[in-house]
Amino acid sequence: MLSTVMATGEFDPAGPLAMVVFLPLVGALLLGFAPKPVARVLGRVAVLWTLPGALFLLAAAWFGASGHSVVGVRWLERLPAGAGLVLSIWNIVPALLVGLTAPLALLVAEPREKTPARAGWLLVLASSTQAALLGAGPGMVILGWVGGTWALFFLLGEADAEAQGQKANGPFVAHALACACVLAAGLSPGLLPLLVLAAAIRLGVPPFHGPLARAFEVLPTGAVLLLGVGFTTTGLLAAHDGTLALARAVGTSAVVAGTLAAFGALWAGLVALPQDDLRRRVAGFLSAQGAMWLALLALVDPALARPAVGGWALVTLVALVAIVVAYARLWAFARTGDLRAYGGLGQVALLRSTLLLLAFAALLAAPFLGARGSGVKALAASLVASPLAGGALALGGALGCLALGLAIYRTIRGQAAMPLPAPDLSGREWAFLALLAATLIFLSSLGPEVGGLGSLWPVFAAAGTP
Amino acid sequence: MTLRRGLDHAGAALTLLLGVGAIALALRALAMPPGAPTLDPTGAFADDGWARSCRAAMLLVTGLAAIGLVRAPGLRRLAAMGALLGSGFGVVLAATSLELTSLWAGVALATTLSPLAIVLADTRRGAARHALTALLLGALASGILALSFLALTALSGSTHVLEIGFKVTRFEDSAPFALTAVRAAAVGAAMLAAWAPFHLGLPELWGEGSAPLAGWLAIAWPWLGWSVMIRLAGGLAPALEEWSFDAAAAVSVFLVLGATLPGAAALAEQRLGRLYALMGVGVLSELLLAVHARGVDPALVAPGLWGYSLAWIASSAALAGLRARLGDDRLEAMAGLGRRLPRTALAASAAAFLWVGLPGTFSLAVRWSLWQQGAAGPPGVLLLASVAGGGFLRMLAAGRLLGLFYFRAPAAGEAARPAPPPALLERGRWGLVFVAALVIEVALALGAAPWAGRLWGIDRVLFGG
Repeated sequence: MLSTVMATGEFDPAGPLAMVVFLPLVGALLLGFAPKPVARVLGRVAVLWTLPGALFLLAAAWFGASGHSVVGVRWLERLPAGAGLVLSIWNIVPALLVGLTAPLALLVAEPREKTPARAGWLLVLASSTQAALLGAGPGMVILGWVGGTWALFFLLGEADAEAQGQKANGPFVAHALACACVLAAGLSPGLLPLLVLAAAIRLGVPPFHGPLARAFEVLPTGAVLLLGVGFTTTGLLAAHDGTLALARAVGTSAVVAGTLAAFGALWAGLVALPQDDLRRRVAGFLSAQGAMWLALLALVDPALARPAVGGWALVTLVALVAIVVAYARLWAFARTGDLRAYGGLGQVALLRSTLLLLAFAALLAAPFLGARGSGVKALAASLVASPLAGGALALGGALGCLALGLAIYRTIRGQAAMPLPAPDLSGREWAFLALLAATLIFLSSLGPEVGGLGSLWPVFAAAGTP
Repeated sequence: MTLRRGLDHAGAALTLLLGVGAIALALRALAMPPGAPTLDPTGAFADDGWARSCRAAMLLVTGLAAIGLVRAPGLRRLAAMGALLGSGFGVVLAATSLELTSLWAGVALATTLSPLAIVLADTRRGAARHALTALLLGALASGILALSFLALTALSGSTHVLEIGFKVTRFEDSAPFALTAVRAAAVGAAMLAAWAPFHLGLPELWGEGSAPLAGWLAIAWPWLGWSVMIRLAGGLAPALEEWSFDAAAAVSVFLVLGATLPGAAALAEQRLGRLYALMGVGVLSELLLAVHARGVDPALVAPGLWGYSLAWIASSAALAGLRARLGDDRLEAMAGLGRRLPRTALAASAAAFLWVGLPGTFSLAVRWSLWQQGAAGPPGVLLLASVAGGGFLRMLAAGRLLGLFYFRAPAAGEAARPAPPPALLERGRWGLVFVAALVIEVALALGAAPWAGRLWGIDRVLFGG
C-alpha cells in the first residue's frame, strides 16, 4: 500500500512471496484474538505459520541456483492495495536466513513457559523482518522496520514483567528513532545518509550497544535468535545504502563515519570483555562485529567491501544461530545468563561442547570463509587506507571474538558454582543441527550470482536496482 | 412526570432519528455517482468535489454526534442537536462559498453555535470553560478573518474570490497590505485547523469534553479552516503568482512546529483524551504538505481530512467506552488495563496506533500520499525531517500508552476499579462506532479508495487554476 508506484505489467499478483510476509502475520492475529484455550493450542503450533514461507524460500533459492543467473531468482509480486515485494539475488540470502531462523525461534527451549502472546509477537517480528528485506518500495520497508520495533517492544515488555516493562523503554526509543530515520530516508534522497544512524542502532554500534545488550539479556531465547539474525541483516542493508549516500553527499563524511564506527568497534569489544552475563557477551560480540562491518563499508572501496561484509556476515550469522541453539537448553536450565552458572560442559555434554567449538571456529574463520577470503582483504585495505581506524576496527573485532571465546571456554572447561544438569544434544537439537548443516552446504553450493558462500553475498542493491 | 418522561423519550427518539438520517444522507452522498462541478446562477456557491466531500463528512460526524447526544438530559439534547446542525450548516456554507460574505457567515455561524452546543449538552465538569474557550477561539478566528476579508474586498472592489484574485493586484503599492491580509487570513484559518502554535487551546477542548461534542469539534473545525484556505487560495492564485508569493514557504513554519511540538507535548500528557488530541494535531499539520507555491491542492487535503476524521471517530468511541468504565481518562488510572479490560484497552491501543500509522488503514495511506507529495516538491529536507520527527514522537507517545496498558501492574485503590459494565445498548453503541470507523478505514485502504475518490475530483477552473 505504501510503496512507490510500479510500472504496469512489471509485477505478478500476490503469491507465495506475500505468503512469506503475511502468513505469520495471520497467525499472530489469530493468536491475539482467539479465546484463551484456542490461543494456547495455536501458540504450541505457531511454528506452522512460518514453515510454508521457509520452504518456499528454500525452493526459490534452489531453482535460482539451478538457473545460475539474475533472472533465476527474480520474483516480483504486487499486493492488493498497491505495495510490492521483490525477491532477487540482492535479498535472497538474508530472506532465506530469516525464513529458516523463524521456525527455530519458535521451537528452541525457553527458560520460561511459552505463551501465545510471545509466539504471536515472534511471528510479527518474523514477518516484519521479511517485509523490510523483501519490500519493493520504501513504504513496505518502513512498515517492516516499524513492525519489528513494536514486536521488540512487546517481547521485551512481556519478558520483563517483574520490572513492569521498564527495560523495554530504552531499546524501544532507540529503535523508534531508527524507524524515523528510515522514514525520512524513504521520503527524500537528501536524507538517505540517515540510514547510517538507523543501521548503527540496529547493529548495536556504540553508543547504541547498550540497548542491544539489554534486549539480549531480557528477551526469550527464540527472540534473541530472530533479533540477532533479523536486525543484523536489515541493519546491514541500511548500512550499505547509508554509507553510499554519505559518500555521494560529502566525500569525507563517509570516512568520518567509518572512523567513528571503527573506534565504536574497539569500544564495543572493550565493553564486551568484562560482561558477566553470557547473553550480554553475545550482544557485545555482535555490536563489535556490526561496528566493524559498518566501518568497512564506509572506509573501503564498495567493490571490495560489499562481498567481504556480505560473506563475513553470512558465516557469522549462521554460526551465531548454532551458538544460540547450543546454549538454548543450558539457558532453559540455568534460567540466568550469569556466567558463573556455566561450566564443565565438556565433561557432561561432549557433542554440545563440540558444536559450540565448531561454531566459534566458524566465527573466527568467517573473514577467510566468506567470499573467498575477501574479508581479510577488506581488513587489510582498511589498514592501508587509514592505519589508525583500520587498527581500531581489527582490534575491536578481535576483542569481541575474545569476549565470546572466553565465555564459551568457561562454559566448556570452567567450574560452575552448581553443576548444571546439562544434557547432551536431544533429538530435536540434532534436527536443528542437520538443518543447519544442510543449509550451510546448500548455501555453499549456490552459484556465485546467487550468493554462494564461496563467492559473495550480493545483498546490497546499487541505488535504483530492484 | 409521565408527560415529562414521554417528552424525554420522544426527544431521544427524534435525536436518534436525526442522527441516523444524517448518517444515511452521508452514505448516500458517498455512494452517488460523480457529477460535474456546478455553480449556482449567481456564481456565489460552488457544488464541486471539495463541497461534496465536506458536506458528506459533516453529515457523517453530525449524525454520529447525535447518537452520542442521546445521553444528554431532557430536551437539551434536541436544542444541542439543533445547534450542531446549524454549526454544521455553517461549515458546509463556508465550504461551498465563493463569496467572502457567505464564506465569513459560514465561519461565524459554525464558531458561534458550536460553543452553544457544549453549553446545552455537556454535563461534564469544565464544560463551561470549554464552551468559553471555543467561543473565544472561534470569535478570534472570525474577527481576524473578517478584517482580512474586509481588506481584500476593499483592495479589489469585489467580494467574489475569483475576481479578487485578478483585481487585488490592480494597485501596485497595495501588495504589502494585501499580503498582510492574506497572512492574517492564514492565521485565522490556523486557529480553526489547529496549526501550531495556534493549537494551544484545542487539546483541552478536544480532549476533555464529552466524546460526541469534542469529537465533532475536532473534526468540524479543521474542515472549516481548510475550507477557508482552499477557497481563498483557489481564488488568489493569480495574485500570488504576480506577487511571487511562495505559499508553501509561508506555511512551512506551521508544518515544522505542528509536526514536532504536539508530539513532544504528548510525551508528558496525563490524560488520554488530550493525548489523542495532541497526536491528532500533529497529524493535521501534515496536511500542510498539500500547500504548494501557488496555492493548495484540495485533492490531497480532502482525503487527508477524511482519514483524520475517521481516526478521530474511532478515538472518540474508544475514549467514551473507556471513560464509562473508569470514570475518567487519567493515565495513572489505566495501569494494567490490558488485564482488567482487555477489549477496551485494545480499542484505545488501536486508536493510538491510528495516529501513529496503522498498516492497512486509509488514514495511513493518505498520509503516505501526502508525504510523497512533500518529497516530490521543493520544500526540502527540513520539512520532511520534521514529519519523520513528528512520527517518532507520536510513536513514543503511543509506546508509553501501550506500556501502561500491557506491562504495568493494575493500580491499587478505589479509583482504579472499573465501573460495572454499562447496558448492552451503551456498550454496543461505542463498539459499533469504533468498529465501523475501523472497517471503513480498512475498506477504503484496500480498494474502495478509488470509488470514494470520485468525490474528491476537483475542477481546478473553480479554483482559479
